[in-house]
Amino acid sequence: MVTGTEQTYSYLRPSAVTFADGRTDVLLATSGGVTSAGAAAHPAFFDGFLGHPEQTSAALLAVAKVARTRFYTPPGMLAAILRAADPVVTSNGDRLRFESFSACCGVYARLDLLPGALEGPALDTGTTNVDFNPPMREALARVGGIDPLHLMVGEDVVVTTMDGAVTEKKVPLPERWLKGFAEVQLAAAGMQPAFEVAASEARRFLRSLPSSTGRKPLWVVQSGRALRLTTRPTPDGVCISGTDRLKPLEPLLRFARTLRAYTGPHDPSGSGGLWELGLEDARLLLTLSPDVSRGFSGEGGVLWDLADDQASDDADLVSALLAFEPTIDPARLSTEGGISEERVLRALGRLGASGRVGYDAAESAYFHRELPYDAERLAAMHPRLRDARALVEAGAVRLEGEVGFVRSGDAEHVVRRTPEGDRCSCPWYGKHKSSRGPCKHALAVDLARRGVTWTPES
Amino acid sequence: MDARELSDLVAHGQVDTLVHRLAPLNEKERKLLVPGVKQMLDYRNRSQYPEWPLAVAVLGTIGGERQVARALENMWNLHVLGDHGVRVLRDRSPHWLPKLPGALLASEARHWNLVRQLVREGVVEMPDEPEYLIWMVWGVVAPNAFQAHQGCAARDGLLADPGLLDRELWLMLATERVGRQLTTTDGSLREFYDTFQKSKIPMPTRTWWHALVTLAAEGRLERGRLLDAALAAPLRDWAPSDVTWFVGLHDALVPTADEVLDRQATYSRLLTCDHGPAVKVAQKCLTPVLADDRLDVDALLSASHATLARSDKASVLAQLSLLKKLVKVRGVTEAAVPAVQVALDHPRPDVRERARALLDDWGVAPPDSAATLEFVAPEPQPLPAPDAVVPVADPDELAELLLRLLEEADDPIAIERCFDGVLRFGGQTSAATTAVLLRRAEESQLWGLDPRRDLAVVAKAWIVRPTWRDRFRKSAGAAVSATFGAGPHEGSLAWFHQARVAELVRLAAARAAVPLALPTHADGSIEAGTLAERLGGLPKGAAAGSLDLAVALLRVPPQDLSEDLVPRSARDGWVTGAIRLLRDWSPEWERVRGESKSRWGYGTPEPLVTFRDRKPSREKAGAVGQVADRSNALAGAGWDRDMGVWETRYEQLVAWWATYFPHHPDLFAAHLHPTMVGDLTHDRGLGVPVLDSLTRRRPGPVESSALVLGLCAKDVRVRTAGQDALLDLAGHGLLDGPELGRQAVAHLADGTVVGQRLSGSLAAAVVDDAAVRPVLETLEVLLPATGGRRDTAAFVELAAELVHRSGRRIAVPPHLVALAESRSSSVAAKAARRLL
Repeated sequence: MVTGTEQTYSYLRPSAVTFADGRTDVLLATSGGVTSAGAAAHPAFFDGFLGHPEQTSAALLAVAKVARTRFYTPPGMLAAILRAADPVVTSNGDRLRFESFSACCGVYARLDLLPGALEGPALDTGTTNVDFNPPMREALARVGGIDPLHLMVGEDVVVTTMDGAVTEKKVPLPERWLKGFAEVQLAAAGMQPAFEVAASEARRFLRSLPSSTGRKPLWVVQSGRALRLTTRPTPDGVCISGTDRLKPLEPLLRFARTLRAYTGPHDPSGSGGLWELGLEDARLLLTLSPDVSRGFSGEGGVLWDLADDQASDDADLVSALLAFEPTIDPARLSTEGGISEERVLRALGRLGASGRVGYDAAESAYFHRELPYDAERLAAMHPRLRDARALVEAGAVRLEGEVGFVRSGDAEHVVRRTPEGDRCSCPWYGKHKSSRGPCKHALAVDLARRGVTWTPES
Repeated sequence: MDARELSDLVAHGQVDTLVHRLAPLNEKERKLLVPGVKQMLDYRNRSQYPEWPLAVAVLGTIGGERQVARALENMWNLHVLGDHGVRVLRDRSPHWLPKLPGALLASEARHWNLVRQLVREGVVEMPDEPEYLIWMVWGVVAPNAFQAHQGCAARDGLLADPGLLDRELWLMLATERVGRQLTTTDGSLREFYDTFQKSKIPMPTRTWWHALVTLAAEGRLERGRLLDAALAAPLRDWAPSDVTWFVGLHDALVPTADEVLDRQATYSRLLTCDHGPAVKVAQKCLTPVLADDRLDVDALLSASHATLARSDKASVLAQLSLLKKLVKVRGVTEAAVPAVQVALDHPRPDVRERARALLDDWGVAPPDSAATLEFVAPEPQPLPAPDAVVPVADPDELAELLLRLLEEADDPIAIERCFDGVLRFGGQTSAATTAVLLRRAEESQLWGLDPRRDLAVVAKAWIVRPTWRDRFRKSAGAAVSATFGAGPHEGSLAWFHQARVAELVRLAAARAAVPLALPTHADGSIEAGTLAERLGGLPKGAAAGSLDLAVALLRVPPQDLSEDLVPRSARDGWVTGAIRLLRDWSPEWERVRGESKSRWGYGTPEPLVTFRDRKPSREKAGAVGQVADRSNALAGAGWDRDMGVWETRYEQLVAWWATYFPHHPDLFAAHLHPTMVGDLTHDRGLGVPVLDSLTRRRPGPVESSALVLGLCAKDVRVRTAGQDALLDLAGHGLLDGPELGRQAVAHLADGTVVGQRLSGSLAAAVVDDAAVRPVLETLEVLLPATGGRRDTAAFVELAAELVHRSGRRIAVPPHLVALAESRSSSVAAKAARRLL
């Protein structure tokens, strides 16, 4: 059964684009979120001109399009209800980041407007939702390349609350969507650069992609100056399942400078990939799940960290030191927090799972942002961890040296510790191996082991 | 009023009286009538009651907006309800009335007309739901849609409710998903089917297009606003299916030059749209006003970048023509050059050529492109050595491997390791995991040709000695239970495979067998010395499976095969024959074409292509001889093909079978030809393992034919695997370009493959320099056979590009020489000129 919650967006007025006196004014209305001063109902982050107006408009439309798209419809779901969540915007002081997540939980899009694109400083730092209504999208499509573009992310509350009217819209957001939106950052953090090609090759390759490749993955590899598809799993290539998931990049190809791709840990059955289109003073990136039918919500890469109580305490410590930095420096946090860099990184992973940091692959660094959703709900939605704790509490775990035995239902599963990671005899592990995080039995054994041997000193 | 009176009034259609009698009732009294109304709604009684009086009874009695909507769900013609529905609801005025429109519009029958009447009479506010505007499209025309004499269904519907023209119409034209509804509705209105004459009568005047254009012409609608609405749709980021109707409306309005210039900013933005027809509209409207001083040339040139970056041909060529005219009339050469340079990256060579020609005309040298860099064919690389295979170490590892493969049998070598382990560890099991494995194997409800099914049976045989019944079931042939029809043909790979699994179950039950067939390398091969060791280690009385030995012999390099490998005690007559057959393997392959019916014996016969051996060996070689005998290649080919289409795990089986033939890819490819022909029309991806197995030696006619089939498959993965195989062979200097060309010619000649797919795959493969020369050799053989074909241009263009890139000339066939020398301006003619 799909569980979910209803997200209520409350805007002072709808976002709008106006064309007057040869310039374009874009007002993005904001709803909820966090600023440097704490929680705010309608934060204001930016008021100034943007460079490259046509490129920025097209990129914003691409981000909004991902939010409105379901790239995969499960069998049997003939008329899926598609209610798009509004994009999230983060101001890191010197840059703005617009994020969205597809309805199928398999594609994450982010537009980074870098310092060169903003002709003026940010008013504040923080994260909020922005209204992307249909008239707004229509108006953005009309923005031309030679019109100055004035952007306001949020506005002075005193001015706009005169009539007291508030625009509200309610969007049901399934738990798996919220979880996937948070977890995609951890997937990105585990990716490594694979290749970079020039704009002309990016255009040729992306336009030549078939509209559909079925559900089994293909890999993209560099062959000389060119890119090509291959069916052979290779650690040098980037896995792609569902080539239509790269279509949102197409309208931006005419502005592209480079195309850079990052690959997740090699897995012959498919791994995630990150595609970054380099633009003038901006980057548009898409992170794709390993399989078109597989959302980020079930990846479970963070479960080890979540099961670690020490990482929880470290996360509390690290979060207190964050201040919406564009790139988080683990060394600084290590010094300031008095904990090792490794513990900082584990803490950041845990914060990522609760939507409190994002990952910037181009900078190879986390950045601070707080997803404007209920953080406690985000952290609580891990059924495998919940089940593992229940197994431990029920006394279902038995340890014999390096081997753990977990009674689950009528069966007793065996968890062996090996240099490559824990191996379990359950069907879930048989199907996914370690590619989607640990199974509940391996987690339960880990919890039980640490319960026996872990001490604060260790 | 009681239920009987209500029933009588409904049955006799006395609606006025019904409304009058219902008016004074309170909600409690109405509730008492509900059972009677539900009885009338019952499908067994429905035919006794006319629809619209029954609808009035529903509206007057049933409580709750959803309940009312549900009761009206099967009533499709409520537009004849008149004002009775409004009257009865106004009299009743229930508290849920404001929510009724939303519930009605969400129901299957929608009842837009009833909602509209409520809105028009001021009983309810206009609903916020977009469905009100989306279903308005059909609701307006519904009263007149099925009457042939109503010549203007949409127009009459709008004029009958002029309030719509003031508000709803404009909102409707700005609502997402209305476009596709308009397309569908106009499609059904445009023609009237005359049931008497049994013919379609064109009636374009009934459409929404006609209604809006004529109303605008008569001044009842504001023409400028209508034009703006039509132009806005492509810019709203809607799906193409929502935009097409608006483009047609725009064309029907035929805007004047002044109207275009007044909206020139919008037309310029249309050039940046994704929707191709919208771009075409902009080009068509802007071209006549290029010379007008009011035109903002900078905006047009800025937007042209987007058009010229499109991947289609027509819109880019049209934009190049537009810019050519613009430069001619406005002299803005310098400003137009950057836009035209965008087209130099176009994927089609003829478009790039046009852009280059335009720059030449303007006296601008095109920038150096990557393609002009010197071509250097890479040196062939030696074949990499395949990885060594490590046998499973102990029963624990075996049990874990089996558990994993029972979930996903995607690793053929791992399956072979399991088979080997099951025989080696007969009688020993894993203390920790056995119970879980047995439980999982018994839980597996698998049918058909599925490797997981084989693994489940083998796992059970390892743990529990099979009963006589289990053994009988396996030996009787799993195919009988696997498929409802005939089993696999004797000598086919499926037959060979099933016999091997059945033998393995028997050997596992014997608990004293010695495994022979585990590959020593990941490509499936076994070193001759290793096999000799295994055979030499056979203890007295120990069983060696004949099929296990047959697989082992197939896996040994033919040049290393000799009778001495096998101890005298195990050297049956068939063994010597099999060794001779494989060592002296020299088939004479002949391409054969036939037809197959479905495995159930009915349906349209489908074409089949495969290869037969004209001179099969007459040696007595047991199962090896049966698998190698391809003298009657079409027998059982239809079964093989159908298995590929229907069996969901067939690709994993094919990958497994590929490890049986590491040294005889021609035989393997010949067996799999029917499956690969099936891949031409089904996107099942079965050819991937076949193509992967073809890359370790210079391909002969059978492998080349399989390569062509792979390059032309329907499924992108198979085509990509074909390109991978082609590049691997080329990279190792093994690709026989002329042979590939000959097989392509044969497949094209009898229509087995689609030429466009072949040219597309070859073009995709040549992104790697290693493939350029062999592909050019392929094209050299193929081009003479392109005469009279519609796909000639694609092959000639590719050949011209490769000649230009590699600097190597090829022989051009006479029909292309003639085409090049003609005055034709076709793409093929231009490419032929470049080729010369």
